[in-house]
Amino acid sequence: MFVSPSFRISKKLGLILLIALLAVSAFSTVLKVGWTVEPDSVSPFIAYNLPAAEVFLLLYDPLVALNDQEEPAGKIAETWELSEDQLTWTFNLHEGIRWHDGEPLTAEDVKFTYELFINTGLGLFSGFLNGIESIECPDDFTVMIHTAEPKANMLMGNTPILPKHIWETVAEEDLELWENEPAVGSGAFAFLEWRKGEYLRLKANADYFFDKPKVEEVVFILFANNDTLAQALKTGEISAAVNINPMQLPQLSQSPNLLAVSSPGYGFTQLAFNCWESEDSKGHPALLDKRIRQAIDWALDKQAILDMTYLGQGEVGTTLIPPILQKWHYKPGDSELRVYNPEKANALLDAAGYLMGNRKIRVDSQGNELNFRLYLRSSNTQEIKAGQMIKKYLQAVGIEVSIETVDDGLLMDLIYADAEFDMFIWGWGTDVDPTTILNVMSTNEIFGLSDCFYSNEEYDRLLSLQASQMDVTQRQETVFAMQRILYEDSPYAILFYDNEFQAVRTDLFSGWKRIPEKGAFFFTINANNYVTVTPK
Amino acid sequence: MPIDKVTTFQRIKNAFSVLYGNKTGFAGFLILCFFLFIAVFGPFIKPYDIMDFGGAEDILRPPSFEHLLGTDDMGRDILGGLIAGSRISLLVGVMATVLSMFLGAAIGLGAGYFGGFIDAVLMRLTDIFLVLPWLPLVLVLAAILGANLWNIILVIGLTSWAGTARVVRAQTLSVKERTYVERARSLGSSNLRVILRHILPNVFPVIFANTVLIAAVAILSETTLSFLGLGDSLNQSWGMMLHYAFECGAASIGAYWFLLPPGICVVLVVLGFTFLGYALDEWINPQIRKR
Amino acid sequence: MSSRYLGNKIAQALITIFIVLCINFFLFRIMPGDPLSMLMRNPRASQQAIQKAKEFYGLDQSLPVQFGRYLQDLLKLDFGVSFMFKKPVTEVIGGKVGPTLLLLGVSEIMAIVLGIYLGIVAASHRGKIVDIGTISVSLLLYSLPTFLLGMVLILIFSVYWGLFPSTGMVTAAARYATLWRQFLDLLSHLFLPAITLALTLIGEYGMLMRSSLLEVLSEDFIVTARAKGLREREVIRKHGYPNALLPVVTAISINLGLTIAGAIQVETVFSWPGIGRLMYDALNNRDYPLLQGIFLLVCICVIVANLFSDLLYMVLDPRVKS
Repeated sequence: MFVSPSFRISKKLGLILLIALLAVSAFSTVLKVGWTVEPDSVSPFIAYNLPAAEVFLLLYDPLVALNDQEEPAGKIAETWELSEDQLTWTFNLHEGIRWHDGEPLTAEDVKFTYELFINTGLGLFSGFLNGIESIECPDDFTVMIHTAEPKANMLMGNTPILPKHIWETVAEEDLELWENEPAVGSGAFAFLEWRKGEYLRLKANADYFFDKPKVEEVVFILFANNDTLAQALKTGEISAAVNINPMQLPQLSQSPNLLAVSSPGYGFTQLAFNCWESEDSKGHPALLDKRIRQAIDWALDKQAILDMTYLGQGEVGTTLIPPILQKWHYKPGDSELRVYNPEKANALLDAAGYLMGNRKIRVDSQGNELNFRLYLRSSNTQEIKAGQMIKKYLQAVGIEVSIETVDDGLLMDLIYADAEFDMFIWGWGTDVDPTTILNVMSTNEIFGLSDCFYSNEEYDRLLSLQASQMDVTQRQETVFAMQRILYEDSPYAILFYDNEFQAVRTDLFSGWKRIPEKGAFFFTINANNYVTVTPK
Repeated sequence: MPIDKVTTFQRIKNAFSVLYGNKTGFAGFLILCFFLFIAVFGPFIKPYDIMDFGGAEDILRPPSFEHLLGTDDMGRDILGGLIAGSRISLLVGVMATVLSMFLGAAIGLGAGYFGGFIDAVLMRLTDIFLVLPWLPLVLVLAAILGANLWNIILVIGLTSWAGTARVVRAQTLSVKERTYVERARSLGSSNLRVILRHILPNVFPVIFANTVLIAAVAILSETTLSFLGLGDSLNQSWGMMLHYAFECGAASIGAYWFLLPPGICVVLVVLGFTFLGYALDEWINPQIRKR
Repeated sequence: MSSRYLGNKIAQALITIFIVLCINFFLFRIMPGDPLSMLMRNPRASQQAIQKAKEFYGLDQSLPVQFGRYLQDLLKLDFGVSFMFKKPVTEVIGGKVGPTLLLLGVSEIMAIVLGIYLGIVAASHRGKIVDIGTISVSLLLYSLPTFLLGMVLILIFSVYWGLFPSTGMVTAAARYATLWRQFLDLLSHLFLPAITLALTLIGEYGMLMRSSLLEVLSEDFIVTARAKGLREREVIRKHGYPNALLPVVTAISINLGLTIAGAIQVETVFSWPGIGRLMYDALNNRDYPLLQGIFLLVCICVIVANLFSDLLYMVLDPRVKS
């Protein structure tokens, strides 16, 4: 008897709510994209993560963008030419491009932006501008860039062009704290609202100079985990999802309204070793011996790790540049390639002077044991799984691993502030141009971006050589040689090139395009999908 | 009937008769015995190695003859994981409870016995711990100390003693007034001796009943901490299993066999402790509970 | 006597708040890791930039100086600047108070009404099936971790039946034809989290009401009332309820700390944009000022709620007054 009144109420309530739900999902000229990580900032001088880079592609246009085949294609610059001596680039800008606030975009904006990046060295993009000596603007719509050496990656950086009239009001020393909200750009979408921890709204740029977006708004919605993300996609609350859980791919692929893809991504996951040859290094000295590092690489069944962490979606890792960059990825030959082989690992460890001790742990003649600390990021389930498997594989060849899980920030401290680690797992994303990722391993980047403190003179020499090689075949050879050096020295054991897992609603929007051909929808090399998708 | 006249043996016998009489209490006792048995002997019957990953084809298999409860997201047997997890969950529960009991008893006894300034200070401290919101405090402490098994035990122990301290103090106050305690004091027995010989035995039943209830809270706390990602990822408790089940999206891909068994285990053990705790409480305070 | 009791209670609350302030400050300074590395996220940050950031966030001073400043700023209601949002903490928290209050308020009301009702039903059928059923359900709800209950409800209502959305407070960035529709959207998002939180509380309030009513019913004045020939239902209604409600009412405000624990879990599971979720994010990002702000706010709320329940007790219970 006592249940009846409340029951009646809840039934009626349920019905009302059901109707409400149907009513709300009717608007679909808003493209809602779900993600699980949001930008660390919308200032290109502060942001370092991938979601930020994606948002910059929408908010800002570069001088030269990349088309779906990874080739340079005009954007702000309509045409460009390179002088005979290959040291002067002349860009002819479109006339009539306007900033989101209505001001005209001119050559001065380009000059100002590039100089600001070069002078401060901040952000994701400044590295691309290395080698630029001076910039001049002969008129409002011409930019001339002079370089000391030929600059092979001049057209590749996707460097956002910023409005001078806004950024010149910010003192250079305040750049690292100036959050750039609301961001004013010239891209296909304009900044509307960012509720951190909830969503980031961009509205279509109605005065966009190029093909205008078919949707009215793009909203990036932050989800607490990729499980709720997939649910929201299924209910239609969002129309696209990046970073979905690989476990859910099979189920999502079955739905007729969904297009779910697992596509090679621009990045890799690595087991990094502390290679710092310095008195101050707090790493295990045995890891300075490349034979030990190679032995570890031999000892890992990377295919099994990939199977377990990403259900085999991806490719087993070898060299520094992922295979999606066909032009630059170096594929080790059969004689060099290290494929899971514990005997080889054992032989190398024996040769390095570490023999199996009583506790089934290898020791050298002084009694130093091979026991390494392995740091894992508590936020990343896949990496924790991989770490546990690595522990098991290394145990089998007499190497003891003690795992510690830490949060991202603490790991950054351990690596960049103190070099206080033996091994850790995390990953890098790469650009279309190989320079950025190759640069991570240069001696210059120790206490910069280098997370393994690797140093090799020949490698450093080749790094600057490839940056100035305009001939693709020649440059390719240099880049291959660099990857060969790294593979031999193994400062990283690259575990795998992880795939991107994305899914979109085909019943709500049409015109989805994979970029490049076998690639993903988002987080690729350009923002074309956001512009071309059409509401149904 | 004054409890202090009853010998230890009689007390145990009484407990059992009360348990038999109180069906829920006995059910709780049985549940706990069952899980204790599993925690102690289970791993011998069904050996489990957290490092024993399966291949890709073993991931998240539904229950079958080979794996009675299916497999988890790393191809490991879930039944085996539950059994191994029972050790971790019970260990955390019991250790944290013991720590909490010691703190609560020491502070309650000290405050009640010495009175005056010590009482005021200790009770102020107790009040603060009673007032501080429990989960935020636990979360902050766990984050500060870092997530491993011993820290989790420490954190839960450190934050759950205040209730015990209050009850113990009240009981101590009443015992203190009894004539033989007064006599022992006037005869010049040391404080410590009086506390240990005369007061503690009389306060102990209260401590014990409280402890059993705290064990339930401790296990719930561990589960919640683990779920929120502050658990020990290398020692797989039931809470950690739930965390991984949530992370891999077990709910939305319908892998109920990964989600439900650890959940049911947690619920059963917490119920077990609660049943037993209330039964003991009723036995110790025969009149209807005041709270 | 009464005013002294009141003064005592207020003084105690103030002392507790001060100790919370101390804990709050020093506890957060011994957290591992350098907050700046989280804050800047730029491995190449120049020394000047680091220095500037330190000054900006007040991290360049010694601990006692920082503490002094901290207390001073608190008096001005300045909780510092959130590392994560790079906005004043008060502003960040301010934006999240509403959703949490909504969630807490709705679930508390549901839990109080249903809990008290269940308690009465159980007590008046003591020992019968209804009573045993109520006790069992209450115990089950008590034993069920809140997050697990939330996940199970998502599994049933969102995944299998697709009735209610499982994340967020509103359909993100939706536009509504009418205000009414917007309200309905909010309601449909509120449903599952509120039910989850309410369910965890109902059992407790029910049990409390039950035992409180049973106790009252065994007291002398009830026996007298019965002896006067009043019908049992009349006895319960006239004398039982008012007296039994007192401990329940005070318990509800004392209970706030526990309710907040539930809210943190519910907000995490359902991605509800409130204080609990914010606290979880702040923890993961080592956002000290924000964490401190939230922790302090929650503690003060709980302390004030406790004080309030003491006062309420004083007003309602004649024994304390005299």
